[in-house]
Amino acid sequence: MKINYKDIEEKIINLIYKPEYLGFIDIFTLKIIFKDIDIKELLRYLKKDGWEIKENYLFNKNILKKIFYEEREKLKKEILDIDNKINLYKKFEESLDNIKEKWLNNFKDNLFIENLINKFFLNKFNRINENINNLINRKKENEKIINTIEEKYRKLFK
Amino acid sequence: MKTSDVIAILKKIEETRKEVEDYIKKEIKEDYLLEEISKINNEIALFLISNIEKSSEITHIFKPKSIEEYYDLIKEKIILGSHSEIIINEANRIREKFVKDEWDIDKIYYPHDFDDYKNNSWKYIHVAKEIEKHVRDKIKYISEPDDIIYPAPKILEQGYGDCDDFTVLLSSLFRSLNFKVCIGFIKNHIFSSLVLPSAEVYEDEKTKINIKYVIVPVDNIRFKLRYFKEEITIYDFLDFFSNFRERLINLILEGKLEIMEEIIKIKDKLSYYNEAKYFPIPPLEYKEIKECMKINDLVAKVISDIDLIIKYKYEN
Repeated sequence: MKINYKDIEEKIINLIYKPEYLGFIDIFTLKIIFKDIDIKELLRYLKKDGWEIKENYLFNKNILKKIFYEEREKLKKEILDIDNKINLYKKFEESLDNIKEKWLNNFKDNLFIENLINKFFLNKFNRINENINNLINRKKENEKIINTIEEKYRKLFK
Repeated sequence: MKTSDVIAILKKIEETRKEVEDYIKKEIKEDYLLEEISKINNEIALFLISNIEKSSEITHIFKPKSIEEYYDLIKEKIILGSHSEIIINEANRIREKFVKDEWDIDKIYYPHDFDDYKNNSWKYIHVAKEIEKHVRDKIKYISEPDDIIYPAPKILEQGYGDCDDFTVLLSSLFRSLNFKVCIGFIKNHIFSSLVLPSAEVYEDEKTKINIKYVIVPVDNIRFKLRYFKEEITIYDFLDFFSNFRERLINLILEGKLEIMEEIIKIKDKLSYYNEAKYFPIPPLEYKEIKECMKINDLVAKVISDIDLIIKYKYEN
């Protein structure tokens, strides 16, 4: 049976567009996925079609450029959104602190109520902090991915 | 915790809630924050109220010096009850039988037009009727030798109570659904009452809506009438489009005029409630109570309306 390398190329393109591949695939993974195919023949075909192998990774510069650029922009936009959300939470925290003070001020002569107010707001602040921390972690993760992408990009385009 | 302490704290909670609400409206410019912080401000008020309820297990033993003092105690208990999650859930379970979608009671208190009133009044009146029925089925009336008022959730849990417990429980359930609630005192009796609209009496010049508010005593008022298999409740008089009214007219048209004598007797019996002194449960105000019709006046109006309808039918 004659192997249609064009179809396999399409499959590889679809694969490397997935976020876990980010535009390139290592030869080892390729061999596992296409274990029934003569990889040498496949690579020969792909090289003719503009694909390259560097650092044991298979990639196509044009596709790689596009994916890197899109992914980086997406992550940067996400970071901006995260920053906005963090700012909002901080404003929210500030306003909450003000109203907590007002409630405490009105019940400063009643220890029982004072404790209840503190308990209520502690719970609210904890939740806000938890949300802020989650956002900070997401931001850090995005920054890490951007760094990895840029590093990979530099290596593969060297 | 003493009763007077509980009431003082409740008042202070409400004052603080309002004070902080004003502050929020003045200081916070962003809509999103304004909404969220307002929500939290209401939440803290409810949180404090429910904790006071839990901690004090409010079982008041008291000997009120005056009717006003009695009213103050009952009022606070009703407000407290209407914020209790157990009461809110119970009231909503009952109301969902008739009004499944959005619960907007302003549709009957302040209808945009007569159709709005006509299409909604029966549902909301039936919810009130069903709440009373539910409580009377579930709670056994006992005469208590001591003056103890239990918190509304406790009454629901224990399944018995005297007239002040019935007043607290019923009023709390009604108030939790934003019904306009007042309480009536008469001799040695106290009862919950509702201010409900009835499509009777006058036409508002501006809105052209024919609505008048009636004080409806929620006091197990039921009648057995000849020709009617089921008992008639006071709510049947309120519902302008009820089957009861329609059947009443048909019976008279069939020549069974004695039914009117029975209705007149009902009217006379209801004049008992004219002697009651009514006190509002906030947000209802005294002035609103003063503008209300008494229940026997409503029945009198029903009688004269039926007369008019019958005359009209005979003439045509």
